[in-house]
Amino acid sequence: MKAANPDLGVIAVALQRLPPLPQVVNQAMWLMQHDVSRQEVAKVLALDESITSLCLRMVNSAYYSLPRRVVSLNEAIGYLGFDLVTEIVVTASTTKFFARSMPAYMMDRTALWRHSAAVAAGCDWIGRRRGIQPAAELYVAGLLHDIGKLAIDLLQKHGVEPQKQPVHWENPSEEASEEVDWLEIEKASVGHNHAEIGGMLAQRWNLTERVAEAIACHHAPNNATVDPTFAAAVHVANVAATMCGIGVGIGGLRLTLDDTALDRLSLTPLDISELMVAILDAVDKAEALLGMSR
Amino acid sequence: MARSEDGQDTLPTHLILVGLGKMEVSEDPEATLRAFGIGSTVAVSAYDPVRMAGGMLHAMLPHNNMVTQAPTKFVDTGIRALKEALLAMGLVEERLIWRFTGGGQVLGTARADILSNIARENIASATDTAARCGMAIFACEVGGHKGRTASLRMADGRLQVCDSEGHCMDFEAPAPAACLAEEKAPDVRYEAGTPAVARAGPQQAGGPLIGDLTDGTPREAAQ
Repeated sequence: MKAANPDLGVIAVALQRLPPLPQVVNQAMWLMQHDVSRQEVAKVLALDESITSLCLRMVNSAYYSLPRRVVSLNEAIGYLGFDLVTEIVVTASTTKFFARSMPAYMMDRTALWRHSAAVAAGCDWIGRRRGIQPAAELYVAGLLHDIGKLAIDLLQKHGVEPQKQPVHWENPSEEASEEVDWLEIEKASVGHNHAEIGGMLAQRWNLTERVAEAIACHHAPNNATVDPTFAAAVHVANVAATMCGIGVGIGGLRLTLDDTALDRLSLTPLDISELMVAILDAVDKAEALLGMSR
Repeated sequence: MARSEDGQDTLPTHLILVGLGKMEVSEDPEATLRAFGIGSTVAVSAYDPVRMAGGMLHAMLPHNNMVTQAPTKFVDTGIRALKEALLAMGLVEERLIWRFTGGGQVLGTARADILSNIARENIASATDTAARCGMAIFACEVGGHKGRTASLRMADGRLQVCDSEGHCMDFEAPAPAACLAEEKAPDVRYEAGTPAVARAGPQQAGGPLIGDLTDGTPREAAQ
């Protein structure tokens, strides 16, 4: 899908107010696309001391039950593989980025991070099950899929174009009707829904085209043209995480599942159950390791 | 207890969080058990008003067909595990008041029944399992398209259900008849001839009752 015409105003304000995307995310993505040595990778990922130590803590946790204590990222890559270490690095480095409450969506400090980590874990599971490549890109798309909500929340907070605010957002305690479409409310409020804004932000951050598209199309995976499988995976992972109740905000469970996405990924009901269990396990693990308890 | 702006109780002194796929029990009369993030999942609570003790389960899937997983991830094995844990604490089975909430659905396109089925089956599994165990269970706010938080207060057994938009409903322990279904969930209701319920709490004079999802009034369960 061609990205919607970037609304320079909204994106500019969002970029200005959002903290910068941790550099390591772009670097990890770059490394994914280039054939580089393990040492080279470790060197780049280890840019940040605190991230390195966090990663080593995760790698050495009981969850991965490695035969012996790992002391460097280089070694960790040897044991766990490049993809897994990249995912750990990216998760650890974006924890702070996501740890903020979003009053406009009635989500508390940990809700967005939990939801993002859950969808990333879901993407990971689907990707493994269906052999979707590149795995690290799919993981990043899942992790950043709701980044547009953070931008809209910031805009709401700062009262950008308040005259455009719809009833529900002016008074969220109003009983929302069953038919209310939150994507439309977002659009009426700031000109684009959170998925479109997320896609534009991803482009500005120089993430790959398929990642930007998967973010932009995560509520309408049928619109994807660059890599429809990517968009379908993020879409299904998002629905599964929401069903688990992870990061459910103001719209409740009012999100529409596109069943062609399930077909595209050949997922059965039992697969969805397993996906939900996998998401729960992954979020529990990440939460414990990163100290993100409520 | 003080209430915050969104109607939810401010944090009680002894708040015990019930994680997804887990259960917690308590006999601390000052404790509150709370399950956050109830989506398609269900939170099942049991309360003994005499001992001022009880437990809560937050299960995510209806039937346990994954042997390697913890029983508390599933409604059927979870309810049994919760019952066992409560009896092991010395609570009296006949006094336990069982209630559950949750089972919200995502919206699907025409053929996407797969996921709404998980929510529906979670609700069905809660009533079926309770019936099989010979217990009355009451549905308090189920179905719809809501995310919810459930809190069980040990002091008086009040079950508070708040949705993700901040609306809260209180269900007092001795009056399970107050439990209503989500009215806007026409596809979530008991079918005629719901499995028999053998026992009910001592407060329910007049024999076994089960909350009726269609109009909220209690009705006699078929024996």
